[in-house]
Amino acid sequence: MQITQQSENGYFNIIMKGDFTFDANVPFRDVLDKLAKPDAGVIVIDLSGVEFMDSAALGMLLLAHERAGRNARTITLKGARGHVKKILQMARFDQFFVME
Amino acid sequence: MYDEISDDVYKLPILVVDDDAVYCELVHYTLSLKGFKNVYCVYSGEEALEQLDAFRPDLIIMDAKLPGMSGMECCRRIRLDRKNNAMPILFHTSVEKENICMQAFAAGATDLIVKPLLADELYARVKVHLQNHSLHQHTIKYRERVANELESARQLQLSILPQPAEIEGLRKSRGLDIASYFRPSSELGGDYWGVKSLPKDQTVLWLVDFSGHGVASAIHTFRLHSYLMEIVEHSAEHTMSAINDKLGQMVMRGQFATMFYGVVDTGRNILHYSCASCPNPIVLPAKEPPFMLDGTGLPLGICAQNYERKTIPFREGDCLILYSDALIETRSSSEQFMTEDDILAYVKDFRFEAAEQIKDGLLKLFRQHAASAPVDDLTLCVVKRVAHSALEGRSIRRFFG
Repeated sequence: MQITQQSENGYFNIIMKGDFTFDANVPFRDVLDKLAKPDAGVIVIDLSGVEFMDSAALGMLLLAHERAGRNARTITLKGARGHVKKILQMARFDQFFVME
Repeated sequence: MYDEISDDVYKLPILVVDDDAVYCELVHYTLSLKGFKNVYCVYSGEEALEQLDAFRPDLIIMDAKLPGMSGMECCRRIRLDRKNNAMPILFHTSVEKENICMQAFAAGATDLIVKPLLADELYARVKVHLQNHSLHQHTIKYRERVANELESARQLQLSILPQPAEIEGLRKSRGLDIASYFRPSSELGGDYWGVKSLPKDQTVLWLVDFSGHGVASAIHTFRLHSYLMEIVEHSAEHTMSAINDKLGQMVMRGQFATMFYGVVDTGRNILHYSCASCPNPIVLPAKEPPFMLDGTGLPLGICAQNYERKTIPFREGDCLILYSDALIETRSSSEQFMTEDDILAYVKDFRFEAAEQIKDGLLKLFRQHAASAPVDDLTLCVVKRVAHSALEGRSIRRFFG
């Protein structure tokens, strides 16, 4: 799993590539720390490069939602497709995230 | 210096093998002076082998050149016994020639001490090898203990799943033919399924999958089992909401469970159910093509939520197939996942088979597909309503049998 972080023009983009599974928990921890900061900006997690996601990844997204929520921010999940899109829909994650 | 190592190391038995009684005495004296309390001496290789079981040493100091059986030969024989594989055997030789070193290591020596004896060197080597050996033994014992405890926990986990007598009872009382498969990815898993009969022809069935796997998830399955046994009832949506509230208090943030909870009503020929993000269950009706139920729903334990109840006809001969996500989330050698459509296409030919055959068929399909063992827990549960005629035939055969 490759995670790229970009902060520009008030946006905080987190671009995920590869399989989003438990193995991503170490690099994702850094993302979680930044999401909790008041100056995080508009948060967008780009999932267009993610082929596969498991329940551990859903858990990490829930933690991200919780961290961003501390500053009343909502996270946008962008570009989910195929299996990833289906899993997010099945878990009704549109209740927590803006889906794009 | 003594404080650096545990006092226990000084109590470990050390065996000195040397035909030179004076040398033996010198080693004994030196080690005793340093605090080692159990140093024994023997004077030949033959005697060392004879006394090995009596002394059970944790370290041997052996002369390379013994009369009769050589030190090399004695060492080789000691190593033949697997339980002595890790025991440190230190050779002491009067000359440090390369060929003697190589011969000693080839015979199974752990280290060499060169004569004449230097007390500090002897102490340093004995200490380091005993410490290593002691740590090694501790690690082995720890692993054995953990393995035993995990095995006990695994048995406990199997014991909360429906037992054969219960399943046979449901066949007789409710006409339900049930087959299952449960395989955690390690000793313990986060999957849990169950079945329980309620009054008025109703039978409850559930399959839960906690996020993650291993010990922490397994503990959640135990806790949920205790809770479920108290609250199981005929309303799927109420039970699901109650479990959601309970898990909200039980699991940590970022953890959750997915679940199917269904009630088969054999009197009214229906199945009503609620789903919390479970893999889409498959229905294999007796007279129609198979189809999928929608497993959509918020996973349990995240936030307060009302769950939806849905109802479908479920008549004699109809079959319901539940599975955990490992079935459709394990890659093939060409990196593909098995889809629900693959499963639907496969099971349509199993319409007239018993639950056991349907389960075995699905496992066969999975094993043909999967490139390796699943990294997640795999559970399958097949519940089929037995046709009335089949039940009758069974009882008649029994009557005449």
